Amino acid sequence: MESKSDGITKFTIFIIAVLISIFVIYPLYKVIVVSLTVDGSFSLSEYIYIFSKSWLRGTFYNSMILGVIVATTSTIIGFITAYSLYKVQLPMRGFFRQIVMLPIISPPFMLTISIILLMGRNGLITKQLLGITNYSIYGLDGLIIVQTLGMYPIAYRVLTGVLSRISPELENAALNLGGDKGYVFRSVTLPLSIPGLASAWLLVFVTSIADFANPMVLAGNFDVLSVQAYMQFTGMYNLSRGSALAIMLLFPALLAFVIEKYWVSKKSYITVTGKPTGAKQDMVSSKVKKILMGFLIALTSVIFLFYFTVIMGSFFTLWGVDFSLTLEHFKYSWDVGLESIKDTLILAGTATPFTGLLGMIIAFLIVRKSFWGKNLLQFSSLLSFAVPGTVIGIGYVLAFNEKPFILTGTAAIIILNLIFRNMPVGIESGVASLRQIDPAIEEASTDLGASSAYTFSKITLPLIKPAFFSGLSYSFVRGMTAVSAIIFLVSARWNHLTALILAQTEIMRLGAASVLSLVLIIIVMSVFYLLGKLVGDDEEFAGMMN
Amino acid sequence: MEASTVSLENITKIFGSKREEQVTAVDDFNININQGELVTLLGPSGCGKTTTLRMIAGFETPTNGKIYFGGENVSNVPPNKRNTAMVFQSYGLFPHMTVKENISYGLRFKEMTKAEVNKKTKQIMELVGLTGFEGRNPGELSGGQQQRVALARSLVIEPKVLLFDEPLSNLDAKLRENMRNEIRKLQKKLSITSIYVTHDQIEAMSLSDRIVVMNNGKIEQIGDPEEIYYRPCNAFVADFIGKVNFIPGEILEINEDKMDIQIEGSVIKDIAVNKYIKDQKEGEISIVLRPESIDICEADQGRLEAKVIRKEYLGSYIEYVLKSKEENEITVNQFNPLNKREFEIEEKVTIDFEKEDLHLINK
Repeated sequence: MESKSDGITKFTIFIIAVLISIFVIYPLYKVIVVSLTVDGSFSLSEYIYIFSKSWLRGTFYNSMILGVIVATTSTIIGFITAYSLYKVQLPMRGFFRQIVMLPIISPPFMLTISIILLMGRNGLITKQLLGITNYSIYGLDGLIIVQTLGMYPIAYRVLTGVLSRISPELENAALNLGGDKGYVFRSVTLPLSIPGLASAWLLVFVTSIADFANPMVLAGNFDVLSVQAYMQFTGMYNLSRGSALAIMLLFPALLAFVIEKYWVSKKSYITVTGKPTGAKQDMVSSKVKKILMGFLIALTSVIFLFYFTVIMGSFFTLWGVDFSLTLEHFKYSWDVGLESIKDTLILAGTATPFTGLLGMIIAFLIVRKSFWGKNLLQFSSLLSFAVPGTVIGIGYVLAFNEKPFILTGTAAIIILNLIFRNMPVGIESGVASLRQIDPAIEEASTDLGASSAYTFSKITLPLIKPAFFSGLSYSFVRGMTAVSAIIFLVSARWNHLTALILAQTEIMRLGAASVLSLVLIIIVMSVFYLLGKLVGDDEEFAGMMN
Repeated sequence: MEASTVSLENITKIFGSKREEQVTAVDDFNININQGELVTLLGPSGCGKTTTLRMIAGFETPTNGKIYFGGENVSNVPPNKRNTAMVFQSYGLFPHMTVKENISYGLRFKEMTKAEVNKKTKQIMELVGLTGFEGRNPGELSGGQQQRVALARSLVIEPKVLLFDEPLSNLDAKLRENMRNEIRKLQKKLSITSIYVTHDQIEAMSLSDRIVVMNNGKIEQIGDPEEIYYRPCNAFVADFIGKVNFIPGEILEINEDKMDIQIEGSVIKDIAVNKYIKDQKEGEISIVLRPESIDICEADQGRLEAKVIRKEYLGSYIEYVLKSKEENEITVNQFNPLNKREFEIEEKVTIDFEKEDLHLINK
């Protein structure tokens, strides 16, 4: 139940509204304004120019083509994986469930480094094993592979939620009424998954077109919007054209996001069948089971191959030419990277607690309080999730380079960017877990004399601790692996590890890039592990909250 | 303890901001509750009883009207400053705290030494029979024990007003009866003004000093349990509380506070006129007659003729459903049926009743 707001709540809402206006809305507004300004006056000429030149127009189509293909392949792989791991009794399920999520915590271009090592001009597979020299991985093919491999976990995660909530009772009922297993899948399981499939597809689409790091390195002549916007903005210093390209990226992303949020999720059936449950019996024949097992083995092998390649890449002197082992890359990385590693830890480490706390507070306000403009607040706080990093990066440069907010070159601009870009993750998990908690628990606290701030810190926050820590983990990962917006905001004083890896990859120092990627992954995994330990044994009262 | 009466004055609650979506949950609610009194708000779901309770606690703000505690207007006092304590339907226990921490939670906001807090907590735990459970988590307790914790947590702060929101609905029937008696005992012993929301009429009758029957946001009737049961003001109240027969009748003649009426052709003289029909001088009325007030007899012994159409054996009594000569369905309870004549379906019977048991309401 929603309750009225008291003074402290009203003040909090006001502060949050101001922060979101400044750090989410205002930068977007600046991008729009600049894209429509040529020589100081309003003009559509940038857009007209972009559409009249086929090489610029092409970037738009390329982004869309890439998005559609990757969304489709990722959704298919994500669905098969989720189905195999949540609806079929396969051996080593726990192991597979861990491995298939691995790509989500890697830096976004790690797979690109791998694929260049494997299939590039000096690639292990292409040149060394097959002796092919005229093949180029740079372009659409390569992008499809790395993006699919990097983004199917997004689809997988959405579909896992959906599939595990389709009660086995429904499938058993269908079997009991005479359908065979294939028919039950077609007539029950698949139709119930459709909203989930749509949701997964749209989310991957948004992620794919917003991706900057992979195409930056791997696109070759296949120009996409995010890269071209960056080039125009920072390379050519053409602010209006860069902004206009960013806006063209923003629209499809926002459209997909809005469709997902306000249409697809409303069509979801999962609420009908309730709590997540695992498969009690196989819903497939033993032949299909073998095929699915083969699929999982193949998928995890590819993931391992890509990771193993990066590890080996760190130790070989010069990949493809000189395969002798060396620690040279580590020494070099230490020299060029130490500062960046420190910076990155400071930046992500500072942003994370704020992101987590802000996310929980907003989630609390959204679920428990009723106030004017609530839907607007909810939409704009989730907005930064949908807005491609390129757009927000450009927005931050434009917005905070002049009075009243001069932040360019500071750590603050990067930290603020990380906070407001990653906040939606915390909000989403906070909202989900608050909805599980009986409002009477908080009301009891208020009724017994506690103020709303006291209730939030002593009752609500401890109860949503698991969501809070998972929000923290994810915002830290995203803080450590962010590229697309950060690339606009790094400076000589404050560099980010991802920007450094990208630079190393671009100058083909793949050994160093591999080492730095490994360092990044190790840091991320250690923090994940530690936060996991902290949440650890809080299961005892989880039963009470349902 | 200061006198803590509760008064609601013209309380109205409208939900929804847009005109076309507005719902009037509570409509012009008025009551004065005395110090130490237990008043039950009784009604079907959606009748506004919980909303009324939440307005008293301060969780909802009335659209109109005023709320007074002991003569002081608290309408604008936030819930944490009202000094009410609510026992929630789902108990609302803090799952991350022990039983003792739960119970002493409200004392954190009072100026008290640690020793005082411990002493009070200990006393109240003794009172509700929870001694020995101090270190447990709520998740490790049974439903009945959780209920006691919720009760103790509310009692320990010595609230001006104790509020109950269907607190027993999650317990099984036996336990419900026990807790009901215990709540009443404690409430009387501590003499705390209490407001109790329920949709269970048995609960309402066994607990209450007074019952407020609500429907569609409005008060239908306020009265003590006996009054509500035997002297309902209208068909809704009569029907909501217990089983009831409505038999149509007609006014023949009125002599001051008595009237003669006719039911299915037989005349019954000198029935007491009650305040609900005193303005009606002639025409049709409805006669309220409880199944336990009717005797089922052999043909041509009673007042009205009827035929058995259904019967059900319910242990302590047999419930017969009869059809009268004029096609009215009449339910009759035959208590202690073991050594009584049992009637068969389709058998012709008659019914008899005392005229004092007839209660008249407007048709």
